[in-house]
Amino acid sequence: MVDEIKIQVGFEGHYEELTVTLPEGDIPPYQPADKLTVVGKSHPRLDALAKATGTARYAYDQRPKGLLYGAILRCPHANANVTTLDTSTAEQMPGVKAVLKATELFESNSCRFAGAEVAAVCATSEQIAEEALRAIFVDYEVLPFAVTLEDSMASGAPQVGRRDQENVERTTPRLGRDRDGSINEEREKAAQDGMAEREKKVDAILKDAPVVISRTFRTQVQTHCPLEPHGLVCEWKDGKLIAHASTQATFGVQGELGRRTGTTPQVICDHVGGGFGSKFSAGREGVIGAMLAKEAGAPVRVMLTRRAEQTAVGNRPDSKQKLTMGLDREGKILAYRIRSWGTPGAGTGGAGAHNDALYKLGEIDKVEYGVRTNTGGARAHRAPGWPQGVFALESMLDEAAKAIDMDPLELRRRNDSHKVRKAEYEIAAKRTKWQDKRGKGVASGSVRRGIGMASSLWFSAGGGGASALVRILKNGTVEVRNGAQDIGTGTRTIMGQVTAEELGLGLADVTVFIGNTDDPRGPASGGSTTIGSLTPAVRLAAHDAKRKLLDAVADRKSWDAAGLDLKHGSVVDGSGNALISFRAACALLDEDAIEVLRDRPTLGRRRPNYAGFEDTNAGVQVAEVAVDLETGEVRVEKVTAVADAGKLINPKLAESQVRGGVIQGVSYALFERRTMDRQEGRMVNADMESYKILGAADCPEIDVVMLDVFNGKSNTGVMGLGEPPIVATAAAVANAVADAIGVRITELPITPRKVLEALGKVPRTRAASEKKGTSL
Amino acid sequence: MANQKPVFLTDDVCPCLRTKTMTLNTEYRRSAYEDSFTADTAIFHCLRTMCGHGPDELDVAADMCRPGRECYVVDPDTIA
Repeated sequence: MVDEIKIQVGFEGHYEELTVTLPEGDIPPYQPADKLTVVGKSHPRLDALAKATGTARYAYDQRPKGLLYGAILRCPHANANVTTLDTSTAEQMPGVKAVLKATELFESNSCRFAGAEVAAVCATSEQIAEEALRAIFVDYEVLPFAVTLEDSMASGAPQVGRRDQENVERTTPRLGRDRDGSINEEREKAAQDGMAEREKKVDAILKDAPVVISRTFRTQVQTHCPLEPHGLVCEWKDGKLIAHASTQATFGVQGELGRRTGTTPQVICDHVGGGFGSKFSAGREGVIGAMLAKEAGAPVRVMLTRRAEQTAVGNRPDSKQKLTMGLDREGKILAYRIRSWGTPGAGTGGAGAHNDALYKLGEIDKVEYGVRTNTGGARAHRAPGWPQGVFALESMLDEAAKAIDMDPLELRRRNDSHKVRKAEYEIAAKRTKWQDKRGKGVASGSVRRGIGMASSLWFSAGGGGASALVRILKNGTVEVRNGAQDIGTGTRTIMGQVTAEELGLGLADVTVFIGNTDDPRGPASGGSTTIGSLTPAVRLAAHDAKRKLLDAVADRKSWDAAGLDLKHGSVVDGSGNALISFRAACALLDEDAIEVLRDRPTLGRRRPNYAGFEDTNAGVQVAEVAVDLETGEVRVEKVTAVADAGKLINPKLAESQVRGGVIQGVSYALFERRTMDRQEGRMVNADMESYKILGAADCPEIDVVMLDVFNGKSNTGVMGLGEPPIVATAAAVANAVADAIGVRITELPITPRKVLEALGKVPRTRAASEKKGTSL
Repeated sequence: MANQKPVFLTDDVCPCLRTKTMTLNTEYRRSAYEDSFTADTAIFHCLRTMCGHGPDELDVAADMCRPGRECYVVDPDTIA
């Protein structure tokens, strides 16, 4: 039966009543008036001690008896075809237990970037495995290459792909294709007609717009760089593959390795040393690990080297975004034109930039292109497409505000209708003393200070496909189980809190099992959906287990079960009086345990959640920077981050997510950049010494303000938080730098050189090099 | 964000096609395909090559991995 109920939604000072239809079998969401004792409290994460003391075991730490060491031979050329691959010498070497040819395993002899997999071995030691790689003979047909956007787009550029693939392909709107993937002229004409119509419409508005500004923005390639590299330890036991994987998707890896091996593997992931979007697939290294273990008849560890990690398993693509905005003098945005190009490696997918979101932007004309280069391919990277798009969009907003002599905060207010974000603007402004600091350019010697802001949004309240098992044992212990992974966001702790709250227990009374595909199915940790997807299933399973326990107790004691509840470690009556302890209640069970498995309630395939306060969650960040006008050095001194993640289950962990996003965002704004050698076609900074990442000394003070928003949407009302905190940071920093020095820097990362160039203190190098192409 | 309506229904997409979105909402694979198809940040890979191109060396994507393509697989178990 589907229930229609009235709920309170909103946040302090902004509550409203909403009538919603609950999914069948579901329970109402947490409400502002609820007196919660575990949910909403800042508990340290359950695995904090294990991680701090080094006892947490990652995939890298698995050492099954007889472990062999895998190693992968990679192509040294940026663009080549393997013509000969002779592994016979390596196969005969003492200590070598198995050799695989990637060309056969992956049905392709093309290597489209320096670092593509060619062959793999496993041996009794890492040294022998490395020696065996050197004994493999490979002959390549070496092809010309292009590793930068400009080189690839230049007239007469070498072909990056194969067959009839062009280097530049329109990705938005997508090319009109036929059912076999070939271009369908009729559909393509329809797409082009639509583009022409939008272009004409925006042309007309821009022609009459009182203010029109145009700017071109550039962002760099940010490589994935998790502390724990990609990889896994595989072993076969009685025909079953067991894979200890460093992954964001235990069930995704299970599915992929299952298809590749014709089995149903068990995937185990106790802890992950960072994923950030790059660890959804088993990857080539995963298939290699599984097949080497099978061939060798022994467990095999394949973990990538740092060089491989930074070249072969993903990055955030670069971008070139040409934007034009028309607005009136009151700050209303009338029209917006976007032409953008991105380099997601040898393919074209993933090149998009979210530069047309957040605000009411009037009529939009957007065309995007993917540009193939002979570089390692893109993968999802914490808020894919957002930091680069929002950097450009928010820079445009500040430029627009400057053009009409308006406070940038006021311009945002006038083009934004999000109820939570509107409140966040005011919180951020008050907390940072925005009005006192903006545009003041406070100087101290050669240092000039500035302040800038930017916004973010996110969508997810989670979806279906998650299940949870709650078990209450006769001895009073409680377990909650799900097979998904905790990638460091605190999923393990949050599951425990939701279970404990429902059962009237403390967090320490609940044992959480996570990261094993033998347990109930759970989602991948992507799109900031894990907790939003999992917690409604956990809460419902705990709720139903509670009712079963109370029914059993009522039956034994001849009490009315309907009036009973679990609070503060006891069974309580309708007045809240403790009747019997939880442990004593469990001892009354006839069976050994109550076990309840529940799926995440949803309203249906296309509409998993009911209507809530807002469809998206909101964030506002303000950065304060100090720029040395003599050296060009930018220091981000403080970032104030006001964030919304729906109902907060654990404010401490939520704050931790925001801090992580800000740190990664500042790192993206100032430091990180993949550098390609255009002559050799290789990444020259594929290590953690020369690929600069923000360190402790570079870290700003971070002031986090979390709004507790009762958004409804599910029985926990949790919204995504892993990704949104990185969305606004680089844009806020860029706006702060412009406020400090009075000149706009349109390219990330904001290096000292670019600051000095912008100030006219050193000659510009970019314009000349762009003609022929340069490293990004 | 650029949203475009899917041109095709998704039933006959090659079962070797994979993308991140498919792993997020395990119950609704078809919906995931559709969402991926409309996202301008979607990145696909092929289970056979485990990279962004298929065995025929062309890109893999929801609108390209269709019956009629030379590497299209009807039965995904054939890759085991």
